[in-house]
Amino acid sequence: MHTSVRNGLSYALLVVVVLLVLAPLAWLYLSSVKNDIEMYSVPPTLVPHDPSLRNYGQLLVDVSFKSGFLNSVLVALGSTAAALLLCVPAAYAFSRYLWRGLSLVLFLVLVTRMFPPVIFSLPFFIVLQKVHLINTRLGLGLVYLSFQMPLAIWLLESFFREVPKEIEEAARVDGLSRTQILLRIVIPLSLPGLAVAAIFAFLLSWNEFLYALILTRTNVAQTIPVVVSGWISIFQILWGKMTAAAGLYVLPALVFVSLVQKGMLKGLMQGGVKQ
Amino acid sequence: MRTPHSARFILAAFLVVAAASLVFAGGAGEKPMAKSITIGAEAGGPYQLFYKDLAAKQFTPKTGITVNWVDVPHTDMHQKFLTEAASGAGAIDVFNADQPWVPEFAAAGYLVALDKYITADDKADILQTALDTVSYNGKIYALPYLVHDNVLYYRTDLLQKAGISAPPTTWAEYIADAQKLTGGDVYGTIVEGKQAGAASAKFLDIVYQAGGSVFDSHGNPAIDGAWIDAFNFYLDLIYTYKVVPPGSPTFDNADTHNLLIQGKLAMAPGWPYMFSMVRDPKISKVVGLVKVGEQPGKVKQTAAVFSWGFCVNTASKAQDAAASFLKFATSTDAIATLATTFINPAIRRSALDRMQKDPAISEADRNVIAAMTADVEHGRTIPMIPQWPRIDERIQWALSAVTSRQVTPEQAAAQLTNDIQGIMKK
Amino acid sequence: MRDRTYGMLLAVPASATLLAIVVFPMLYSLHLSVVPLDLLHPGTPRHFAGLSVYAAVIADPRFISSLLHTLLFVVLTMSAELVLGLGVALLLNQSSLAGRGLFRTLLILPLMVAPVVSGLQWRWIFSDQYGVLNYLLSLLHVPAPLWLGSPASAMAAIIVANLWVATPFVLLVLLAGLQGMPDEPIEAARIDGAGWWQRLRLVVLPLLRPAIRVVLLIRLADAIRIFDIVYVLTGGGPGDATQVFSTYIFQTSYGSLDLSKGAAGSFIMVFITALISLFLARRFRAG
Repeated sequence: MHTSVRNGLSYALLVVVVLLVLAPLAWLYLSSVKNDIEMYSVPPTLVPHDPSLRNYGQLLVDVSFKSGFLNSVLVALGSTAAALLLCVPAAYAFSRYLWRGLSLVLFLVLVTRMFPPVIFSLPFFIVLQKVHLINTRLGLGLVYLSFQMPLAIWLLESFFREVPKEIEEAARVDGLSRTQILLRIVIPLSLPGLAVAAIFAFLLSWNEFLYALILTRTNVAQTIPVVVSGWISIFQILWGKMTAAAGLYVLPALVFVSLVQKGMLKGLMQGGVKQ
Repeated sequence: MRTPHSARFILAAFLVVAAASLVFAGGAGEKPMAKSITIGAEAGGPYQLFYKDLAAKQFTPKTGITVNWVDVPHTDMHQKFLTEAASGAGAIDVFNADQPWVPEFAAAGYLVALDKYITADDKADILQTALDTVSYNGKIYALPYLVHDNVLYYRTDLLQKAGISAPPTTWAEYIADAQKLTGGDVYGTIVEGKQAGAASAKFLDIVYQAGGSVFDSHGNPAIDGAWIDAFNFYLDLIYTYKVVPPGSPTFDNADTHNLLIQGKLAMAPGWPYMFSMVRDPKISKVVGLVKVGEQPGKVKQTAAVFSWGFCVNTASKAQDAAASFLKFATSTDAIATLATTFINPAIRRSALDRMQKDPAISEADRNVIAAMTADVEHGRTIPMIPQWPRIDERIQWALSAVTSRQVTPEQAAAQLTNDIQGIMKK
Repeated sequence: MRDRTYGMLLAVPASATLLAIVVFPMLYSLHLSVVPLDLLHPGTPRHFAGLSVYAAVIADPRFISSLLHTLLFVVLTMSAELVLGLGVALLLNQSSLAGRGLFRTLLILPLMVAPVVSGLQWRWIFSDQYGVLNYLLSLLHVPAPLWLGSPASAMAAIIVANLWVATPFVLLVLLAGLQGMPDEPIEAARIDGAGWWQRLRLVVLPLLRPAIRVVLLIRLADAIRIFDIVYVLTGGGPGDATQVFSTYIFQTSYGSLDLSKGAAGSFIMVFITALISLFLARRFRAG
């Protein structure tokens, strides 16, 4: 099949997929500009009669929204950075220097993420309370670290493993130390994998709700998922405010993901990947 | 040439900093002093906003006690408060509690018995049904601010057009009226069948109206003919007469109020909170067209009464201060203001009296409030036992399974009896 | 120093940090499951109960049915995620495609929406009266089912909502795997006359094994633990038809106040997940 025809088909398929994926999101943004009467109209309206940005305006003066936003960003960035710092060396070790003991540790790391989060909420509360970290960003970040790490380790390990042994052996012959090989050869070659790990570690923290609910109490540490949930009362669901908040909440994540992908691309091109 | 230690150094530095912050990071000031209390309450809830305002404007200036608030999303309040209470942290002095949690928390020893703070006058003034909703084992463990049950909302314009002079008082009339009122894109009424607490609360109304109850006088489960009647009543409304939206098996109270204010329902059982929504031109398409009355009944017209209140954590280090807030929040003044602000039943007779004499309140509103309060007095509350949430969960299952036609009413009743016996045995 | 020591040094900081954070919760839960705590009778003395709480869980018919529902969900969703994720990854991997980065970013947008909002969003999309899905179907004169009102369609709705948030992960990992793949073997196969499907089956998929393996292991644990979407969409209904492991454990722990039973249920769940993971890890081992 001609490349151009195949390309055209691929493009068309991709566009269809993207449209399907974005449709619920479009509905979300549409809801955020509707007025309250229209929000639940039966049948639903596809084109808002009275669109306005009033819901967004309300958010910008909402104290708990603003503090929640800041907390979410700080906790996510902090825990992601810590996770990468810790997990890149560890994942490399699991991929290269694996012996039976380490293999068991690796499996146990995976086991920690098999528990339903709800079961740890009380014990985590007790622990954080003992070390006075309830209602702090640091406490929350540490708990998040414990789910980001297994994910990051396993993701990174599989990507590090794909780096051909020959390249590393050649570097050894050239006199590079083991750490230099990790820093100058393996990491640059695994940038796509690192990007994926960074993105998902970030998103894990960004979207987490249960522990943020249990382990924080006030604006100093509450994150957006909890703040937004607070707009659901048994009497009313402030859906306009919620969809507007979700609409804004997407943006930092989008920025992070774009930056990470751009940085990765730059790294790939500089590194002259496939030598 | 040895490895540059930069990577390891950064790592070590991070760990040191992390450890140090762990040591030096103080708590976020969560130890309350005697002159301040912390209240855990529903985030963004209208009643919470009401009390935040009242506390700041009246309670704190009068008593000098500062009130701090911990906002918790509504659906998560139970889990959050349970975690806080079970850990013995004592950081939250007052819980904003839904009635079913009161016996549960009281049995677990998390709540302070409030009898010593309540005077004989208080006891006489507060509606007996209201006190029932916060008592466990003969002691009072919470003070309620909102005591309510479901009333019948109906569209005056649609009833008039269909030639119905007064809202139905019996099930038979209810079905007949609903049939007359269903047409176009409007349904006669609505039924909630979702596997959720809000829906099971309304179902209990139906059970009580059929003359049934959960337990008999000996404390055994009494899931009998009245329950079968109640199940069949719902099935008739949904499938035989088709006078409710077809999605009813999946609906809860949010769907009821949404559809009512969108003008899609001629009648609807609903909580008092819906009344303010129905009158609000910003969200309602039926302003001025809705009135309120008692739900119809088979054996009698009645409904299940529930309440929301405040209670004091036994781990609190400021119990007296906390109790004084509770008394303030349920004082005649506060209750009168609350009932008028929200058009809700008044839990104290003195508050009702004051409102009846207040010229600032419109006659229509006064009537509605009086009607809702009388309705509460005719109602009865759920069994105040710590096992109630577990039993209610099984009732939710039965309701959903029957209305989605996965089991027959008889099968559901048998299973429910079994389940309740199992729960009570433990 | 020896390789093994070096490896340990690299792995210790992460493993130790992880251990330090999760060891207490795990031991606490384990303790709860063998020395039962009765929250409703806090004064009663606590005894070692051996495996009796575990036996009570296994004997609970609602546990068994939640296990079956969970396994059904896991099999269906993971198959769909893999097929969809791989398909889109292959589409995106074509080097002559412009705007690839943009597509990729757009396709992971679902993950950036706060789950409480996206969960409610899906509930309303599937709703009967004001649901946009049934509205669109009615415009096309397609009969619309009551999605959340019957067991099969409720499960379908949950799977669709889950796919929306779960497939981006699969997509990104497989795409990264495809991009890191050496060109030579594929080129060699092409020169040897292998068609697209053969290249995929005989060269690309085997080379993609490590990525597929990690996707399966990560997604398995997540699929088995699924909670938010089920809770918001159906609450486990209708009639317990979509009750899964996590909702059962949540309801047991915080609804019935039986923390011990919830803890025991969790360990059983972990055990089952670990068994399946071991099987998958061996089956998809590279080389």
